Amino acid sequence: MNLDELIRSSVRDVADHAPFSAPDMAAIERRSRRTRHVQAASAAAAVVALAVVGGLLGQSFLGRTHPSPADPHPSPGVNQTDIVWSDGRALHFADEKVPAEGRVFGIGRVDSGLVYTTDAQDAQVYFQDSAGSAAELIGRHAVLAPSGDPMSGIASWVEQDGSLTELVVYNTQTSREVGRVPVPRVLGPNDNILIPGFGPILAITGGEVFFSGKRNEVWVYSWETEAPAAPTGYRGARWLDTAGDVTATRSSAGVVSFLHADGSSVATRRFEQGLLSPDGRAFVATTLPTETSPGEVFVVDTATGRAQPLTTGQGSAPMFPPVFTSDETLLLKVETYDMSTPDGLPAKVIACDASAQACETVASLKDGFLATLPSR
Amino acid sequence: MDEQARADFTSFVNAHWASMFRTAYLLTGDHHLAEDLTQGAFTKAMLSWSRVRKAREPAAYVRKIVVNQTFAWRRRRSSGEVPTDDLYDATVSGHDDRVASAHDVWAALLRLPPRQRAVMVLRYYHDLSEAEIAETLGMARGTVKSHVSAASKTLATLMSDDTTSQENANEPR
Repeated sequence: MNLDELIRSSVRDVADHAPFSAPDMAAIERRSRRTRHVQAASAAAAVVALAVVGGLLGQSFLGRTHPSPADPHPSPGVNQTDIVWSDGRALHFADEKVPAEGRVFGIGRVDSGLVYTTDAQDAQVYFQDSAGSAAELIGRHAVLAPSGDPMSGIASWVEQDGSLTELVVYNTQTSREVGRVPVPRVLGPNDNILIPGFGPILAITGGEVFFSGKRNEVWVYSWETEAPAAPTGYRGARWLDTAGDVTATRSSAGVVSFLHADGSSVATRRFEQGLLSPDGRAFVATTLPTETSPGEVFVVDTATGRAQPLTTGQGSAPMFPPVFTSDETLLLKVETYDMSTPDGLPAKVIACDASAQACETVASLKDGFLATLPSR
Repeated sequence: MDEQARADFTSFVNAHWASMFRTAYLLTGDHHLAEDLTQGAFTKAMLSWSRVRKAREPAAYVRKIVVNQTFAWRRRRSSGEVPTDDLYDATVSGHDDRVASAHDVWAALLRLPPRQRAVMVLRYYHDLSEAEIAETLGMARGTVKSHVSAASKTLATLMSDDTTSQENANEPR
């Protein structure tokens, strides 16, 4: 028997004698359900000179925010477990509040909890499950906010330590790092004014992490194939998001289109910014306010391009894109500055059922600058 | 997932569970871990079933997940740890020359670097072509070829060493 035949017959012998149990469909479904439905939260804070930067940014926000009119209408349709956010010091899982290990800079939602970065000098990264167990230190030297995939246990962030910059992919279900790859430096020496909640990770989906690279390019890294990180060919605002089978792009004229896995493309209308739902079926978009009209929020069907306005009850769009914390639930942070409280930045966290077009106020904050929603 | 999709997925799992488990087992040498990796791969497939079912070869997609999960596991485990398992003992205790040879080959296979091992498992257990292995592992065909060549040489050396050691051990003192 030559070596070729010996290897073949040996491998098959071993495989044929390997004892295993029959597939446990209930276990697969449980694992799948847990991946889909357990919730996590996110928030953000500044890594460098947080308080000072906060003040500076707060001032810059004030000129752009609008007074708040009436509260949104409460909606029994919002899944409470999808309401996850941070006030900068604690993490909120629906009605439960879990203290953070430090000032929270940014958070990313995964299936069973959240990952967050702190403003500690070594920018620690923690995983906190929604059951309130002890936080698990999973990384250091994070650049700004981490991101998470609400559909799985995968989280990702960029670490920058000295001259080494690496993108990290971490599975919170198994407590294991599943990917680490050198990437272009994402934070320059002059990038010292940072907005809470923002980070270099743009999206996590289908085994890939999209992130900001050099010269505002969108890069992608596949931790499953372990190929080196590479540019996608998209630059800046032309790529908006990727989720499920869908990529949302924007033309130079501002028209948003959805590229589907079968190669088809569906165009909608002009939008300033937006994000896809985890399954890619919906897109939440905003328009910036103008002198004659307030900004608006729209939920777009990516299969047809049909855009439906979402009434948040705030009279204007939030400064930052609302975020899907599940396929159905949207969270928004709306600054509600008014002259009576010039020292703070009052804000509201609002949750909406995207399909029912109904919203409810989750929290009203006297100073909401540090309040953050999950980034992805 | 609607009822039809659920039924399709269940059939898919039943049809491919054994093959996926065996792949994971050959790659890890640990049947508990192999079951966990297999379950994880099918969970992932279930979450993306609408996409996976439309793939040209859904089983190849899941096999790719299994292999990549194995890489991720191996990268994070401590170096130098040699997997052992019930089968290891079972095959040795069989006292069958052919099974004993299989054990020797597999023991040598487990000492290969992960990518070489994966190439060999895909080639010899799944009978995949170089192009299919390259697609599964996300590497060039030339790289697959060089892995096969290097792994074959290493296996031949390892088995030769094992045989020599065994012969020396059996010599009367």
